Amino acid sequence: MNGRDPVDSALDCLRSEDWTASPFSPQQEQKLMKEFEAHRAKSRSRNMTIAAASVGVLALAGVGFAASGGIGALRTWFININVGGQTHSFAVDDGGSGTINIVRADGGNTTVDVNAETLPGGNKTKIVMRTASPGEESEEIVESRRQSMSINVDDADAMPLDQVQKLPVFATWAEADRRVTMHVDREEGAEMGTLHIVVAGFDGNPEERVLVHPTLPASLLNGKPEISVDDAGRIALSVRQSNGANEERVAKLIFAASQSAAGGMHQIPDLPGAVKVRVDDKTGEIDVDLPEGATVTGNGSPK
Amino acid sequence: MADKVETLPNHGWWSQPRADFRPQPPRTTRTSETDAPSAMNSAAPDESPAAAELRLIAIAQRDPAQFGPLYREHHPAIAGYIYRRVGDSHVADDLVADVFTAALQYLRRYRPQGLPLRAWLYRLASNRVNRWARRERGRAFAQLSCANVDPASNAKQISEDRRATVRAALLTLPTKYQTVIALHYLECLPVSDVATALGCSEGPVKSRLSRGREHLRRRLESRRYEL
Repeated sequence: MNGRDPVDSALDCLRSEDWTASPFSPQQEQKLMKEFEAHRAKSRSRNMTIAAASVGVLALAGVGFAASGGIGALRTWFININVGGQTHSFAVDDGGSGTINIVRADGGNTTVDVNAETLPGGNKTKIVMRTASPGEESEEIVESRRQSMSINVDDADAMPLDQVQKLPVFATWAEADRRVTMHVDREEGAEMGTLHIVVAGFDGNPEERVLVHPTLPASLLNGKPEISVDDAGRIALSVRQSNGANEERVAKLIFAASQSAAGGMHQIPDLPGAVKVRVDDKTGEIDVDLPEGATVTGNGSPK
Repeated sequence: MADKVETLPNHGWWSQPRADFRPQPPRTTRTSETDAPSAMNSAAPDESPAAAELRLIAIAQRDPAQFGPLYREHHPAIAGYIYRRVGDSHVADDLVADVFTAALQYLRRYRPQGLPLRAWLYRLASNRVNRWARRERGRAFAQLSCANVDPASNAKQISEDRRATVRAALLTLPTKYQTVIALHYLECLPVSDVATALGCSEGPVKSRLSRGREHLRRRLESRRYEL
């Protein structure tokens, strides 16, 4: 033993490794470009893959938080479909359907039909996407378990910014050229709390107040959220709750306000590809994305 | 003993003022004779490396076929990071390819303000390595449980055995700890740069470093690891 911390020695051992992975080569670069071109061509082809098959790229908004059961009724799904690198968005009401027609580069048409249906019990929604090109059809079915809660967007009663900034910080992260901070406003012992979201430039001066006030069960606000940013810039806050029996529940808040001020919508600017939270006409939604079998403790009523 | 969270000397490629921004590969990265000239070095004499990179990004965003110079600039660092985490050159090659394919795919969405390209690439790489690591965690536990350093072996073998043990121990940690430990201690990024790469503030990074070290210590102690 040389008296050094064994953890430091262990990490030194890895750090000093003379790695033997393939070094850069022009062939690799050519291969990369070929793969990318193939990927792009594939996206354009009639065998187009609907990237929206993954729940992660489905942005949805739900309204109405049932005070009794705590299960929100999903009303609207915002569907993003990536075609050849471009995103086509449209909304489908719960129980309804939507269709987009895509004219491909080769002049052909592809039709995507989307049907959203809340399954019995109300906490699952099935989305069926059918793609039809001449001579070819495909179908994707996505089931998503969601619990949605209503949030308030209230310009008139907004807390002054200097007061918001005195509230405890729930989460903060850096994105592009700004820092986003969520402050939690909850009275001692209250079952519900409110998050205030403040966006500031890196010079520290709040440049925008985002008026989105999700009201969440206090149990979700007690923990320290883990923040992750995926490749598309989507931000998820995961709050873990232990039930004391060696089981852990994870509630994930996925959000980003979107769109412009037009139509009563607000935005966190330039969060590329972020999952949208619909914020319209003084009400908005935030999703609580629950893994199968998980539940959120705590109850609340819509404000 | 309380674990320390040391702040390593600034590795210096993205904490610096942007005017001085100059990507540097990690010091253990082996460069290849086939490496093409750095895109930054080919910048006009009066153009800073940061400005050169921004220009190259803008060009590549308009035309992905022009991504090559950026790929050549950042490939060594990203490949080294991935390799040091996974320890298998074949797996690393696949993951590196995934990272740069994703970078090409998402480049149009990338906004350079406040997020250097290499930080973004580290983020892409971390996401992919973490996905791989979650799948391999069971295997890492198994590998750690039978890890053994035979003192009778030659020095090179002992060194490789130790490295395999440490890597297996690291891979058994939750990925959130693996990521910050690898970026900070293996890639020598300062805490602020790790935070930038992961899109969070410095506090959680320091906290994860501290907890991650403690987890790693316990894993190593369970194998009576000793250097």
